[in-house]
Amino acid sequence: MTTTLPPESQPGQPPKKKSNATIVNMVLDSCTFVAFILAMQPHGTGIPIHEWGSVALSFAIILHLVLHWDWISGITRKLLSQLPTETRLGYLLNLIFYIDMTVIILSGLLISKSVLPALGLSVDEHAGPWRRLHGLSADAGIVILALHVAMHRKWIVNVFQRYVWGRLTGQAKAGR
Amino acid sequence: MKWFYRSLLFFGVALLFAAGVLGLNQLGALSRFEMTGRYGGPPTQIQSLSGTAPASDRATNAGSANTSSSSRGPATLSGAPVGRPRGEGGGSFQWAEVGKDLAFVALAWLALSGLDWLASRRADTPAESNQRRRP
Repeated sequence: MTTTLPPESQPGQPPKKKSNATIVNMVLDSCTFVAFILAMQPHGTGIPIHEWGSVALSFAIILHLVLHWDWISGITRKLLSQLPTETRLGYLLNLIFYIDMTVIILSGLLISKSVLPALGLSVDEHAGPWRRLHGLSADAGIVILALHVAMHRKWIVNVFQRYVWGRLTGQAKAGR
Repeated sequence: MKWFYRSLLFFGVALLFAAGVLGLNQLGALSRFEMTGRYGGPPTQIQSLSGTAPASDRATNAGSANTSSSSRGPATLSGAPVGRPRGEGGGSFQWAEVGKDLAFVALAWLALSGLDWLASRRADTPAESNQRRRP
């Protein structure tokens, strides 16, 4: 998802609104990334946190998708026409990520020890292919996440330079 | 309200994917992912073997149990698939696994940056050679 950074000041457009959206994206994406890495350690966090945190993570992912609605709908419409190879690859990778996340969450729910029992449902963790599929799809997920992050490295570097490093150094300069 | 409908759409598409996966499971396409035993425990086939059976019978049965488990995919003698699943290594954070995950991200970042650098260098080369040709 190629997201352009808002210019510092653009005539005729409220730059504050755009920069707010960028900050929302940055915070949400950073939290989602950290949550994803933590969700890969069920015994580190404990099973209840792993499961309920993953449910929360799935809502964060849907929010991430909604925030990138323009890009998704725009590329989906233009998919049959001419598009740069990089954009097509990015779209394909994101689609695979979406399917993989669905498999992770579905298989996770089907071997759940905390979420489904809390809803009054019980499942056998070892019945069916779900336990192994959960592990395999999670392993695939980390590779796809790595590629997803790497594809947006320029946006990440720009955003951190402008909104994190820029503000930190700006405050440091102002404090002197 | 627009946001709510959009999220419902993404949720609906995810449900479609989930229905597809459940359908594949119903068709038996995912049976190769089924575990033949529990992690760290004996396989069900060996558990059900009678301890009073003659040694030759036991060996035959154990052999057939191993054959059936290997036909379902790679498995150790205890019946669990080869390799441990994520986070099953103990009761605390597996920092080696966290490091490995972050190393994947760093590797992908470096690889794509390298590809980008190569592509930009390739794009620059004809222009540079043209400039050199100019008097």
